[in-house]
Amino acid sequence: MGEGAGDMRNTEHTEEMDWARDLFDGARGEAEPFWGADAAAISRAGDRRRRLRTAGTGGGLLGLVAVTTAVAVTLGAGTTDFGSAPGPGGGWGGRKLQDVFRYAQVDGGSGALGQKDFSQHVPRSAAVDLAALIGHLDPAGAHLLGSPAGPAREQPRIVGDRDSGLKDTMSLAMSSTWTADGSYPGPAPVTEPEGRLSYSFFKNADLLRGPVLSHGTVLPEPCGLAVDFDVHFGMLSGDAALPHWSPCRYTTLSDGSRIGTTSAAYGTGTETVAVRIFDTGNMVALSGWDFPRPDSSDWTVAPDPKTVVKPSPWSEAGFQAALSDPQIGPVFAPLPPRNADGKFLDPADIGPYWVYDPNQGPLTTGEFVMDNGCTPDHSIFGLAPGSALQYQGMLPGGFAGPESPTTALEGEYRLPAGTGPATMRAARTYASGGCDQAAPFGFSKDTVIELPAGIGDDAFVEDQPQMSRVRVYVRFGDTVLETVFSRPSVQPLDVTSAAGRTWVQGVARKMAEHWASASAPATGK
Amino acid sequence: MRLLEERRLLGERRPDDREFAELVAARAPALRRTAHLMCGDWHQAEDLVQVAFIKLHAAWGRVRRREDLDAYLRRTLLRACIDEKRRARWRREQLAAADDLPDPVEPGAVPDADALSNRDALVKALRTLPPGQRAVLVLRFWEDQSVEETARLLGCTTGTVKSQTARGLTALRAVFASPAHAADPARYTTTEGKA
Repeated sequence: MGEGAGDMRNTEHTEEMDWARDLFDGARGEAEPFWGADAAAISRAGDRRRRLRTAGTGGGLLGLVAVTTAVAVTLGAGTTDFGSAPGPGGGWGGRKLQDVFRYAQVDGGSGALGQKDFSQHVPRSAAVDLAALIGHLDPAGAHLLGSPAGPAREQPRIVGDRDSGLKDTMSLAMSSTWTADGSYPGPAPVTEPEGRLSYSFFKNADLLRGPVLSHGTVLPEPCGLAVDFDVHFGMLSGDAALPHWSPCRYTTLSDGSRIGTTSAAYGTGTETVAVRIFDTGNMVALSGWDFPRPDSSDWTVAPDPKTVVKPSPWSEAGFQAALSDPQIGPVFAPLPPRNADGKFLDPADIGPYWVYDPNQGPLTTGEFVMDNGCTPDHSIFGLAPGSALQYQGMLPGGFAGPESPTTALEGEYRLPAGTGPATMRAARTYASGGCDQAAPFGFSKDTVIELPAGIGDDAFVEDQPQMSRVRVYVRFGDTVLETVFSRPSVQPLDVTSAAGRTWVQGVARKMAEHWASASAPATGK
Repeated sequence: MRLLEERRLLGERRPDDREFAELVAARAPALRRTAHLMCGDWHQAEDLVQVAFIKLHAAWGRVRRREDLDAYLRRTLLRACIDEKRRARWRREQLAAADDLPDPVEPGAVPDADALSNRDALVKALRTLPPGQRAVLVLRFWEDQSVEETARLLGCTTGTVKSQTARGLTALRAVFASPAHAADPARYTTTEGKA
């Protein structure tokens, strides 16, 4: 028995504990059905899951149309080199694109088809973005360097965004070293202060969302995005304290894209991060370190004050200004759209920065569950298949508990003809039957929040705060729509406050609006 | 090695097939018993164990230390068990549609129905508890986890574990003291006949 049992043994529950121990011990060692887990099949499924997580749900490239006339050199075999094409104006001053590699180097990238040679396939849009950023951050070219070991002998190749070598590319990373006089730093150990700047381009920001669990720790990430996953991950196994990111400050630009900025201190040093997320999900990210950025494998100490650049060459405001440059645009083709028929919620209906779950394809429903954790469930099985979509995002603090990653799943349940109203009544009954009123576990104070008439034929909300779950039901005839909000961790999710009720009512209205709108042609409404 | 390349490697690192197969063989039976106590169904227990291993396989690069593997598996398994039946069902449907998971082996004939009575009785009683309480009791008394480890696995405080243990045991005793138990005491008898 664990030590916890000992704790309890010294309390009034001693007899109870002994009884429970006997009860469970009595169930050990009994015969049970044979089962052999197929490790090979599990591995295949694991591989597939890994691919999905890395590459999103995939799909064909939609293509990105180049809108700028460019000077291009045809290299044969369908490859065009845009290195001699002029770059953007502004701080870059229209210099040729190839010059960006004086100031930055290609670090790598990732793609659904495995490792690619990114030194030979830098998309033109990424080079344009990079030039625009450098134009802001080091307009005179006095500080930033490409390879810290000296000028690269082989220059990366800038190709068209739809070059075959870029097919299914999900991300690309480049970086610069910052020194006070623009000279190449000497070999390690670093004695002169130097900084580091990373430029990252992602096909879909959603691929970077979600907590990273390791050693029971949720890894803090800037603006909730694993932009510097490698370094931050390395901290988990090191001695350094995990970063405390400042609250992410978002700004929306006129084109609808959003810029988020944040920073974190490491001793006397600072990491500054800014991301620009486009409507397509594409993201351009800047990470600036005012000290030599550590390798993930050697994150053991805080930066030495002697090697921190003072004043810091980076700031949130400076990064925001750089990323706001109108010449900066998406690099990769967007992922295919979800919810094509529009019958389910748009992510924005739930809240800012919500997205369709990039790792979940369309789901199906077939079982309408009615349970409250206290009584046997009353699920209805064997329904005609319906569809469902999963979303993810952050619910803000305040009305819904602490801000934290949350998922939502909207599904349609196609009940037998004529049973819709009765089933909805039953669902209400079970939704209000929660027990365990005050405990942190169980379905606690299951609360039914009635919604105004006019949202579908009938609608209500089931609040299950201690199960970290809120369910929104909307009925249209014999079809019930249900959206379930869930937090992956055990954090209360309670929307019974006035603000919470307003928000959840808004979600229900949107569910009804989308469904009614998508159904209108078929029903003749 | 640079940012994204490292991220790719960390995120995509996969286990050695032989090592992983050994891990599955070693851990799956115990995890299945735990899942069975949680969900009361051998088929579903097998599904949930497979899902836990699939997640571990996919997260191999992030669950690096050997001692973390058990915790990760337990945590994943319990969360799947606690989660509503619907999600497990969706998960099954998805996996079945997209992957080549093996069909669960049909449970064979039960060798001795009487020999399963204690576990059956326990499973039935546990099913009357809220999932959270059930998880606490299973971790404490089946998995022999400490209060602290139980709290860590469930992501709650030690106070919560203690209070839920007390509540769960009270509820469990009530089940075993019920008229149904009185009508068929042999079926509910524990090893020391304390029911």
